[in-house]
Amino acid sequence: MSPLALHLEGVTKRFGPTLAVDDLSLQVERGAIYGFLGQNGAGKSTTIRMIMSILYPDEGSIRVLGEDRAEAVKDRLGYLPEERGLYKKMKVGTLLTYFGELKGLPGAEARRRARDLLERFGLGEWIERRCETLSKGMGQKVQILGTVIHDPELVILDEPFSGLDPLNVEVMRELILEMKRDGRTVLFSTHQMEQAEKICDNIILIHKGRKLLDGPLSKIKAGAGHGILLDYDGDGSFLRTLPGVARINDGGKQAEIFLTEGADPQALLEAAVGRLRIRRFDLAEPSLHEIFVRAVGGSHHGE
Amino acid sequence: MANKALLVARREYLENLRTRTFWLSIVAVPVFIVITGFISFLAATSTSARTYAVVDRSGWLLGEIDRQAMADDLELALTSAFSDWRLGRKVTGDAPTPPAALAQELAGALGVEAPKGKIDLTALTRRDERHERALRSFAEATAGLIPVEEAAAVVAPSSVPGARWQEHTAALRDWYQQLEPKGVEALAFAKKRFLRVPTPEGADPLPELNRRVDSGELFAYFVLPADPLEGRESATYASKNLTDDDLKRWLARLADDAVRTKRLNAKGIESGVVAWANTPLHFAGQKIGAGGAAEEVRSEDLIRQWAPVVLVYLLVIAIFSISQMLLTNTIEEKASRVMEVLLSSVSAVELMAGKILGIAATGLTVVGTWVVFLIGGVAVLTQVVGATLPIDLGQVVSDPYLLPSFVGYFVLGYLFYAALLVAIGSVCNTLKEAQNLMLPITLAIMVPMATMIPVSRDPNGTLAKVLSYIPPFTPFVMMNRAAGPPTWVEYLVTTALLLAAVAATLWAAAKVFRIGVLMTGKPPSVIEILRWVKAPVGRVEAVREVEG
Repeated sequence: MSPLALHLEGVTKRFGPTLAVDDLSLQVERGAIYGFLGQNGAGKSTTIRMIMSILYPDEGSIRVLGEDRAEAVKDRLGYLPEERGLYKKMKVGTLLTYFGELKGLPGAEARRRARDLLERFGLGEWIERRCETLSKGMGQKVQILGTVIHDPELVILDEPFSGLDPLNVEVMRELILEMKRDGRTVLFSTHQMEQAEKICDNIILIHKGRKLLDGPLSKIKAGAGHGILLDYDGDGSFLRTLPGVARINDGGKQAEIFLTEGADPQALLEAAVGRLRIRRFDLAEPSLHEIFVRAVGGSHHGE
Repeated sequence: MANKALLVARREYLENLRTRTFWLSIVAVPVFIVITGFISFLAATSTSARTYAVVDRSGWLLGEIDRQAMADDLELALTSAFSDWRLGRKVTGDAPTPPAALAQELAGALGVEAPKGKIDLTALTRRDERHERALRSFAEATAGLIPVEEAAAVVAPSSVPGARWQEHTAALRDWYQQLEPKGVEALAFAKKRFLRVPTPEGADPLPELNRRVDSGELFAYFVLPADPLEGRESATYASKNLTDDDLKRWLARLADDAVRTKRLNAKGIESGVVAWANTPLHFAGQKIGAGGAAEEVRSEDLIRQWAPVVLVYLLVIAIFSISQMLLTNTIEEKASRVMEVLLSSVSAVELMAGKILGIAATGLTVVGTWVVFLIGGVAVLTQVVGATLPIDLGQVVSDPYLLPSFVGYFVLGYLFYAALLVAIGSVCNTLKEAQNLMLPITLAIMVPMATMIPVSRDPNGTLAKVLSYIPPFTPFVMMNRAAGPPTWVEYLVTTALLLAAVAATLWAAAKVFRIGVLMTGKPPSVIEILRWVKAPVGRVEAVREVEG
């Protein structure tokens, strides 16, 4: 068994004059959750579609689960595309069974697993109902179940959180963690850094088709220096004008502040105390958002 | 690989079976047939008789017209009774009606055997001048146009004594005169279609007649001139409705015949001679078969002449309604956004193949049900009602030029058009968008429809031959030419061309489908689509990608 779930080398993809993916190389190890991060249009979906052999790269090679041809391992992959839907008129149980059969499960086995999965995730009573009767969150659940019904080694989720309300985001996150517990490798793309931050072991950050960062999240954060996390009430707009403040990500109630070399955090705290009601003042690792902004900003300078 | 395509096909089939549209289309055709049957039955029974009046200034012409009309009606009754007898139909009721009795007697005198075993329908449809003349003569004799002896002489030598003929004609005359217009539903009697009402009394009935026509009481009236033999003065036909001239033409023809006979009589020529002189010369159709031998036109030839037209029509309907289903289905599936989920499990080619197969199975189930309905309906009709089928279904089924080639051309034609429509469906997001791309295909299908009649008239003509070699038309035109039939070389070459075209369209469609199903937004232009087809697989993708 190949130790790598995914191995991309020098993958390039053009759509007419547009360079969608530019010389992308990456490795995904088994048994971990990978966040595939980037803005809209960064090339995430195109890369994922190439991994799923729905599109083909113009240059470079892709090895999925140790195989050169992704078609050969289609049945060992689970895929949730960004554009996803269900056959509205089909019964939930029948549809899940069909997805399982398409992945090569025998009919009876697919039926059994569909029933088990639906029951395990609290949808047992929906098995005989049509997909159009499902709520959006339940529909998403059924779709996710469809991607794991055949017990895939590698699950690829394209923007799994988009369009979900907080409760359903929670459900989705649970499902992803569940997959990891089951020993699967999960690669999911998102442009929502907070989501990635909460569950990723590793991140891959791409921008305009090029890879900017790649590695275990903890390592990346550790290498990025510390910042100050400030929770406050009041008008914090003056914070960015204080001496010694290099950068600030101000959310209105919470601000992530990075100081210039040698600046004293104590001075910042004193300046803030008089004008804001401080609820928390902490030294912390930078957020993924900060890492992302720095990386993208850096790439801008590089151009 | 093929296994996954079959899974897709099975799902398409089973899911379509559960849709309302499927059951509606299954039921639609039989319901349509029943409704049309019912409507034409209503139309046939409910057409009210045209009422008319006649002002006869000659004093004799109207009487002659009545006799001619009666002879026509009786000829109809006798002919129908005669062929009923030859078909071995049971005479309803205890005693045969006077027309049936006379027809049976005539058949005996003419030496026509009652049927035993299988009935040769073509022999029945073949004209027999002697039978027709006998039937006509007795109708005329009954109407009093010629003496009964003269009619009897037509069937001579006969063992039936003259007195028997007299009895028969007398009974027939009574039967006709007592016949109420309502009692003759089954027959297209003039007596039923046109109803004469008495002319109002008085020296000048015309003002009153005009009033009645105006008020709608009367459909029309005629004025016959005082001396029709002279021919100086014309007769008049007055009605509010001059477009519906059935009544006018009917009465004018009868008056013509009567006047002509009368004029010839006036010159000393007997009625019998007049009738003989008026007999038209009939041309019998003959077919020159293989080896130059003249053959009689047989029922196989008749069927081969007309069955292709029906089959072409069915072919067009079947191929287009089924591939239309495929188009709609593909677009709906794109809208449900399930395509990409599927593409992670099956390849685009498998998905397309599965859809084409699944929809074909659905369509064939519908068409098959119609055929079963039709054959069942025909069987019920023949068994229960006792109607006879004008064609031999067994021949249509077994003749290699008919049903077997229909099946073959259906499969090839469907694959060709299904490939085109599934490709179109894959690049469109709504049916409306598909309309534009459908236009060339709609135009293409007009060609075999428009040339259907010319091609069946001249199945081996230049038009037919040229069209046969154009693959989009091949299935329809070659089916249409079955009456020819084309030479085996033509079958070989056109089929080879068609197969090549089917392979090429499927190949091109697969390329378009791969790209098209993942596309959103405005559908591509035809030029763009052709570029996809030309490029090697994987080299060209939809330019307008969603997200990166």
